[in-house]
Amino acid sequence: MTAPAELLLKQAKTVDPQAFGALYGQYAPELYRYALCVLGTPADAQDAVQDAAVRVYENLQNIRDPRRFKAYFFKTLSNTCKTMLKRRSLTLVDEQPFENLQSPHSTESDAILRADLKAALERLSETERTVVLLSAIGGLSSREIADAVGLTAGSTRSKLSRALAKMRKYMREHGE
Amino acid sequence: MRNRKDNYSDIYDALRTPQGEKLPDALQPEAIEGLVKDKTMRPKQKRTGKMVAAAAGFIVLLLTGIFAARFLYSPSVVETPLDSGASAAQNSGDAYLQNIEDYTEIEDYFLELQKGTLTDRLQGAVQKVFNGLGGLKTNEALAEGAVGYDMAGSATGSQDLAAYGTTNTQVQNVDESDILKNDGEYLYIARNTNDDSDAYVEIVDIRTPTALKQTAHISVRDDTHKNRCVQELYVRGNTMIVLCGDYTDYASASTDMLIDDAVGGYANVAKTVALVYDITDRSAPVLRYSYGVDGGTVSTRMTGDTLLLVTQYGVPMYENKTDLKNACVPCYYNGEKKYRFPASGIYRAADSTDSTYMTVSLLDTAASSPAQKMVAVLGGGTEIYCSANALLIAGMDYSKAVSTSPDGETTSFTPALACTRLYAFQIEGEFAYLGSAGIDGTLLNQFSMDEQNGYYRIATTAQDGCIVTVLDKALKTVGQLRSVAPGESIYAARFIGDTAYLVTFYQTDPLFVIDLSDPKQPQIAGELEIPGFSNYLHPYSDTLLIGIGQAGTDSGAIPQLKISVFDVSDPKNPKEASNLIFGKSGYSYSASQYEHKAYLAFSDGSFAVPVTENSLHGNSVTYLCRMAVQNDGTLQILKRYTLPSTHEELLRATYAGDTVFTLSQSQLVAYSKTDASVLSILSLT
Repeated sequence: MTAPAELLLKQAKTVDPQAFGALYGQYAPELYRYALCVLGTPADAQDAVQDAAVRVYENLQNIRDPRRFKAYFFKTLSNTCKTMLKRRSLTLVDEQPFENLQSPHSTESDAILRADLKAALERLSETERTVVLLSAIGGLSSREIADAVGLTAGSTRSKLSRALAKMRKYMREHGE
Repeated sequence: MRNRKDNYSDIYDALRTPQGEKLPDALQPEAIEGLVKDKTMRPKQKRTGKMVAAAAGFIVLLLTGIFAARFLYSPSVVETPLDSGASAAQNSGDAYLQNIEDYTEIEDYFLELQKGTLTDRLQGAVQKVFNGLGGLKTNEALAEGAVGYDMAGSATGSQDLAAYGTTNTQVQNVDESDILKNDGEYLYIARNTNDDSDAYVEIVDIRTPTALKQTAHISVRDDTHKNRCVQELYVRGNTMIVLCGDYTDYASASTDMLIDDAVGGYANVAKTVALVYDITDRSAPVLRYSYGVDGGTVSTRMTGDTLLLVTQYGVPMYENKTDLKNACVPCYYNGEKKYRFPASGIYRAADSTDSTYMTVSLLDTAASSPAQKMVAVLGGGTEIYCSANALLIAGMDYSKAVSTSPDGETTSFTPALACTRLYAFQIEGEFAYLGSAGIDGTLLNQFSMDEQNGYYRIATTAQDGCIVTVLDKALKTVGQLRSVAPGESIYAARFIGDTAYLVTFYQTDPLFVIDLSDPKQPQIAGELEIPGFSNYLHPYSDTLLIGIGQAGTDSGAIPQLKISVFDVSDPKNPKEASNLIFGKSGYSYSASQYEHKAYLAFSDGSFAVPVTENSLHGNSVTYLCRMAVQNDGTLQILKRYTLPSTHEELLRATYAGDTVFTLSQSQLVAYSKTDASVLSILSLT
């Protein structure tokens, strides 16, 4: 049985790396999956999650509410991934198609997502993709996502519904 | 909580279900434990009563400053601006806001801010953002992009329109900027290319609809302004005003900055620039002047030749004291010359620890130089309402919403307890700051504010329900209606004459008709419950409202566009006279649900909105749907103008005479209004 997040956070803040590890562990699979979907390769995803974990740890003392820990972690991770993508491409623009940014495919990245899903995600802009993945994989609320990407909750919701509609349309058009 | 994701549950499941990928050893909890062992935790923020207030102030900083103008990355030596002699608003202030004595007062204030446990404060405040504040509109249900329409000053619902399309604005005679403008002979399009290679305005001659002519292409970029992007524009007679954002890329952590770079890392607007062109010769626009202001655009309006520009400038808290002193006063730019706002035009709250300014500039666009008047208020604002003589700026006040537990361990934030702070300015004749007021609840957007017969009317959502507040010109509350639809969220608010219409939603959509004829006693006159909800309300006539939103069933909303006609002739008994649901075999939406400028009114009484329909068979179509309400209240589709390219969003539409135009990301298409045949297509590269 894993200890409740509240206890772990309190413990972790007493500078207890093990408690932090346990707290992180509750979200590790989703964090990794998110990074994989955004960055495409296990190596980059691993770097991103490690990077984010360190930042979160360093700021741990100021996280008051254990319920916010997951959103905070995902926000940090989403920013870390965005920075990594920026470094990959000097001409990064928000609306650039996904395919131009992806690093060479590895077999593992192909296996993360069904082909049609992956292709549909590739049609989205970077922000749209972030919003969809934070919602689906991270399970963040639109307010938490808005905070993570720097939009209002309303814009986030409309972006999310438009992105999902785009994906649905693409998947229908290209057979299922 | 209603869950509109129901229709995408398969996509969600597919995204979140692991496909057998294995968490690498280096990411196992034990490995992470080992990784962080030798890292240092930043110290805990000290908790005192003052800190909470400071933190609350910094919430404003973050939600306004950071999201609007954060991470200004500048070279390590900040340019010293010139002191200005420009005129400012004439008012020494009130109990809430005080005019500053001189620049030294403000510089000292910022040096003090910097000296304090600034890092910790920011860290703590940053955590407050993480703890669920999420953006400028924190009440989750508020921000559906709900809009309403104010017809202040107009007796009937129909607009007296010329024979060409104009921007759908909130207040008549107060223009709002847009990406597309139309003067009957030319279209003006503001565009940033997809690959970010250029930002420009295209002037297109539409006098021969079968042969659209590109008349001028004005790029706003040059060697000095490589990152400039266009936002929106105005056209008035032979003057064109192009609003741009000068972006600064914050690509990596700078040692000059104190703000934790885990919070952001985005390109952001360092300053807003208005480029004023003389377009007497449409093929060769001449720049009359360029006026810039620090900060990102909050909003703009234009009345006559006067441009109102409101920005938000978050002061970057440089470590270097000289840099901080140079940056702590907002600046304006006349061409390339940088000046500080006059000290006589800078106000700050007595107990405030804000570091974000709201700047208000009034420019004369008919003159050869801006002759600007300006004011800067230390404290943010995010929505504006502008009529011909009044400017209201609304910002958020979180001091009641932040609380610390007795043991000082937990800080909680309750969005529902956030308040709205209003600042009023007189803009006709003498430019003057009139004062401010606080109101319970949070504001929706510009359409939640209105001015009529010397009273301001504001609609907000608070914890106990929705509130309509009436204030006099001195911003004293004279009347208030509370607890409208407790537990529900406002999706649309609209003021027409002496009536306010509120759309609230949880599972069904009550449309409330609120009687404001007695400013001291606003009261609910009538109510209508229907499935689904409206995001946007538009007055069609004296007795009819158009509602654009989503259809619904007993269990909630469904993702199908619904356009309703509400008969509000009897305020006690509002009725839905008719409705049309689009894309019934799949799903559909309209950009006009969230963007009021996508709604087009025709001089013949018909109106048009973009519609996208996706059928379950995989077909998708986007078109401009022109409709009208028949005498019996039935909504009838008159014509569909289909976008040739099915993958694009229909952004705007307009018309001139018998030609209808649609604007998408890469095309301008001209159609015959009567038979919808395509007359010509202009590609926008």
